Amino acid sequence: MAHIPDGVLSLPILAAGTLAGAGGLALGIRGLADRDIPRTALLAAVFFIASSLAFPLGPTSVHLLLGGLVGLMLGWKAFPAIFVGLLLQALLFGFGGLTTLGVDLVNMALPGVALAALARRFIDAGNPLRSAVLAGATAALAVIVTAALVGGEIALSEPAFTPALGIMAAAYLPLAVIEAAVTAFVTLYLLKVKPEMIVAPASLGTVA
Amino acid sequence: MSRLAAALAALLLLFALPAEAHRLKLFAQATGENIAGYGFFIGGGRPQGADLLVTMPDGTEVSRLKTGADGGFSFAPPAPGRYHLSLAAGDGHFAELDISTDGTLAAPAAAPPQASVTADLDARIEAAVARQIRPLLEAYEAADGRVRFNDLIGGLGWIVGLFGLWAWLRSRRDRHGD
Repeated sequence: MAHIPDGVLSLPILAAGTLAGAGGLALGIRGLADRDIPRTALLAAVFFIASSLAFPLGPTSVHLLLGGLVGLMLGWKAFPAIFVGLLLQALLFGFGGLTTLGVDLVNMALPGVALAALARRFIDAGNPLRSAVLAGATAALAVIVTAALVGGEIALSEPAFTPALGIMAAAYLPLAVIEAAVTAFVTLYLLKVKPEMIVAPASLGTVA
Repeated sequence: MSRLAAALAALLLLFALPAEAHRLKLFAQATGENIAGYGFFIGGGRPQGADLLVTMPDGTEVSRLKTGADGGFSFAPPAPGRYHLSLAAGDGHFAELDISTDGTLAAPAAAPPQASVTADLDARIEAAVARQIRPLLEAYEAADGRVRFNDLIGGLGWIVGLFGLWAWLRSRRDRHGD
């Protein structure tokens, strides 16, 4: 979905995206304490698998992005996790370009990280149902913001290729619903089994 | 942690069934004086009403088309030569392809009868061969973008290795601090 190939975006967009991506990556790596490494690696693996595999849906096919879930579970560390996943996808499968890595990273990581930072304070193990619904809403919104970023960047770079709003909605709205369901389910499960994976140490949302 | 691993394995199995990449691709073939083809998503589906831009190798625009209901398109280039096709599906997916129409196919108008018979035969052979190898080309294009299970597992190995390396570097640095 959100893997923009080489040669589509204009130089200013590429430069801005690369700078922002590098900034997020630096923030994430600075906050990466030793005990966060396994969790970050696990979610990098989950993101890599989930966003590599597409399933047909109507006239198009979609794959999960999991920006909301990764943002909830990792905070800023979502940037290194998603970066590794994107780098491997670009190298192994030719998903997205290498020059657009920074832009793609911002598109997929930033909405989840920002929205999860807002939602996390209302998520606690004491009220799993409310937390799961909130996590689902975060995931759905993250997909929509990602779609808006992708569409905006392409429209700014190449007005001839401006994505059609109707087609964008047809592709991303079902995905938002699916992501919401998956994220809500995973949140519910984790709050019961391993609440510390979601109800994070205070350091998660900030730069520790 | 083992329950989590089991859940992850279940997720992986769930997705292993339709193991397809998600990428827009473009298939095109030159037959006679026509270039025809279609766009397709590797995971399934055809882009409808997508913009197809045809340019010369130097970037001059030749024509601008829209794909039909089955993602297909067809056009007759003004002259034989190389053309660059780029397809924008409208949801942020793009695909590109270079194709050349063989110059020998355009039979000269005022040719002696003998030559026109050979030209006609040539054209028919070209068409027959194109028809025969089309399924092969299509299968190749479809296989080209597939996500293979081996690649996925290899990617997981990379992730384990990278983060292991990171943890190892961290542990070395910590020991220096002691």
